[in-house]
Amino acid sequence: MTLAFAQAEAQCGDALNEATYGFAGRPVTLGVVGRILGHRTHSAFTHLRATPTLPDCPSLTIELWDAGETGVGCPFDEESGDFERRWLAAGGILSSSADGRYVGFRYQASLTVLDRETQRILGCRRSGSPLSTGEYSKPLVHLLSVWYHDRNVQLLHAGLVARDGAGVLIPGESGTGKSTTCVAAAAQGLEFLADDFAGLEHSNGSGFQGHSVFGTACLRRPDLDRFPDIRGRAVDDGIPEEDKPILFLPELYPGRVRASVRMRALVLLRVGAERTEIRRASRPDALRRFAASTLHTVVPRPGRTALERLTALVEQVPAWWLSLGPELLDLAPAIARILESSSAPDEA
Amino acid sequence: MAEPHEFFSPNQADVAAKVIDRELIAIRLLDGTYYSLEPVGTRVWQLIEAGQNVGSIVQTVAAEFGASVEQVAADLRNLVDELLSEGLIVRRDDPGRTAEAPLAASGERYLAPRLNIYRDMGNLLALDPPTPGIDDLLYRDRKRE
Amino acid sequence: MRVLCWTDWFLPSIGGVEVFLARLLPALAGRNHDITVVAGHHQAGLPDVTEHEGVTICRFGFHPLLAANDLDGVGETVARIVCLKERVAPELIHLNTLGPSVLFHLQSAVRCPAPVLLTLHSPLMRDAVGPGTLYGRALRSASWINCNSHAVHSDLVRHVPEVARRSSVVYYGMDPPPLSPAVRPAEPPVVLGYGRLVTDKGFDLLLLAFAAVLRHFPRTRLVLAGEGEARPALERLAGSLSIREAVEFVGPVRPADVPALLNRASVVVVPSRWDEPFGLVALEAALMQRPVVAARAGGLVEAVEHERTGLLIEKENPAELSEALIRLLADSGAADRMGVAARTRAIERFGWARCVDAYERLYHFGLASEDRYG
Repeated sequence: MTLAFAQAEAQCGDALNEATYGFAGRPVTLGVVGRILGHRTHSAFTHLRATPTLPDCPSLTIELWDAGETGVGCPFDEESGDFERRWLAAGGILSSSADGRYVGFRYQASLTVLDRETQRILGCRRSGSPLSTGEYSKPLVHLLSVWYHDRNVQLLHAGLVARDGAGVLIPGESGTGKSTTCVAAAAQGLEFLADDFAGLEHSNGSGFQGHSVFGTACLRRPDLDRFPDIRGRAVDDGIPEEDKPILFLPELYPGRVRASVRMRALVLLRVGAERTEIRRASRPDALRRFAASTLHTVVPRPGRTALERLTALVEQVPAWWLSLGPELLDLAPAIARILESSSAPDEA
Repeated sequence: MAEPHEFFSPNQADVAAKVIDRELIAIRLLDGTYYSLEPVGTRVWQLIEAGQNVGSIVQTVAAEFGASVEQVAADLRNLVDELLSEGLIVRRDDPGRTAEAPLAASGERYLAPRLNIYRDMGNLLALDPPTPGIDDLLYRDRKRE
Repeated sequence: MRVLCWTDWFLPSIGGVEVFLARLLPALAGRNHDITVVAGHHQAGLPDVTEHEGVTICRFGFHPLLAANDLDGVGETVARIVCLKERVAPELIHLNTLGPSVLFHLQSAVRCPAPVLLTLHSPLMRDAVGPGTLYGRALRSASWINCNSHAVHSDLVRHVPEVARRSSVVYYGMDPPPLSPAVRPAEPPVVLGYGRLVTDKGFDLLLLAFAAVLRHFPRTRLVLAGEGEARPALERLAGSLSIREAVEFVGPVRPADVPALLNRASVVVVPSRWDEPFGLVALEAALMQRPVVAARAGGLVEAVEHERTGLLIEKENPAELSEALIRLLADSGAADRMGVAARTRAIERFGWARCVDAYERLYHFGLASEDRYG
């Protein structure tokens, strides 16, 4: 499959879009052959741009191409028997080789494969069909979930914002208001890291770190209307039935999107309250909120180590209920109060 | 058989319970059995939580729902026995401090309280098609950092 | 009439219930019924509210909340369901599932009561209809229970006899697709099986039978379409039987492409080992004028008329399956007649308009259609 990418590059060299990023601080190169595919894939990661530092080898090399534009089809035969195991998942087909080295994901017009031995993601897309909202705003999320897991970074279904480098993690299902809340945080001068998927990493020296995976947020139209300043700049090129325009936060709020942050507080969100209030949450409440959203929604499903890590997180990082009233501007002061009241976790 | 002078309390160690809009949902954490109580039964639960004894609960419920004391007493004995046998409540030796019970909603008709039990919840959840887990994708030779 | 239609699964998920409701509900909406769907969030990234051909779909994360014993989340979701029910004010709730999400319906039903029409799309689980079960409570609280086949209905009545008097059978309906049936391929002939590639569907039995067929008709091809956990094992079995080159694994096929797939076939096989509630594959094949060889399993005996529109064989019997296939491949005249009869019967008995009419009657009266049992 690497040969196919090289062929694609040879066919359309001027359509190659290549850059280096830091994913949870690890160097990653992303190369895409295909004008539209390239622009869209890179858009989700712009805030993670890094200067390539030689002679470091990248931790991950991603090579994608558009079959229609390059004339190079997908050479990889996912049905060849190399992919021993298959599941219907997340609207597509997740597959893996018997030894787990290769993980593939076929979704609509795309096939992408992660090689966990050579640290490579290769992918081919038939052109002509629009990217779904998910593919545009969260490209390669399922394979990246596996790659992050291999580096002991757990992908959570959660929003992540920060104030002066202190991170606030907001777990929750779709529909709990966390995307709107995270965009509101950026609008009010706080820092944005995630609206839906955040990476969680633990080290003895630095406690719990939260990592940004994508610089995008997706809001339903009625929620988008609460941001009149940026509403007109939401991107709407995806499949019409999905109707969740995409916001590219680094363009909308330059300087307010960051890559990583130290976790200082967990916020269990409730929207639609009569007025904005905060109060301490119990550890079981926090754990239940995480478990419900992450353990059953992220694909592939996290395992026992994820639950153990989440248990450690709720033990070390204070949790709060934040009931948000109708006035979104209450958010930033509420987060400030939460962070002031949260003492720093112990340094190990 | 529950006696009027007896006190009980929810079995907080093994049971999670929550009143949602005058209905109780509870989970026996040991085996994932779900339970629910309709408004009259939920009121009984709240009064148990608040530390009232059986006799006092009978009086309160009869007054609040406009039912006869005899009827409520008979129904309550059955309910308490069932809550006990399912392990949702436990006997208390001493009354402890009586807490303020939340105010009852008005206007509800009295219906004999019934404990709804859902022993099949675990099976029903297990029947949903499984999403692959990361443990299904173990790669032993993966390069570690 | 304002109807709240409750289902665990809806598009874009693909399965019998989803595909059926995705057609039925817009048809009823087109007859001026106000339909709102409550469904589960089974795929990450789906919006909470979408629209499908005039029908609003509202999704909730039922399963993860229950699996995590998240009572706060359950409570919040029940409150949201109550709000939805108060806003929609349904005159009827059409329940299409007995799964765990029904807890949320039952919890919200006290505050927002409405009669319930329950449609059973598959047989009951035998050991789970007692009084101490969510299943049993949901079943007994329905005002009327409709089954999608007599097989499902017989199963219901056997296990819960007290509901017999308020139950009925209305089959799924389906109209002939726009694509006309093509002449069945004769040289080489093609045997087709499709559906989820899981053990219950019995495609391993088809492979065993096909190996015997090849000895009589060596140029025959077998096409298996669909996807599922059993696929790698099926490919290995084809290899070990030395028939791999005669078998084509097509992968998943969208519903819209099924008629074209059927046109490639000379005969269609439904070798299920489990009691299929109905057998949509057999109906689809009949509408494309294909004879069907099916196992005597559940509702398949209603979808296929033995010796007239196809052949019924014993479950789990590859020898009998191979004999049936050989017979149809040897006598293409008989196979052609069966295909024509299958299509005529399908149009008469399982027509779409008839199905929509019957459901509309069920909605209007909450009572039986003319297919009432007994």
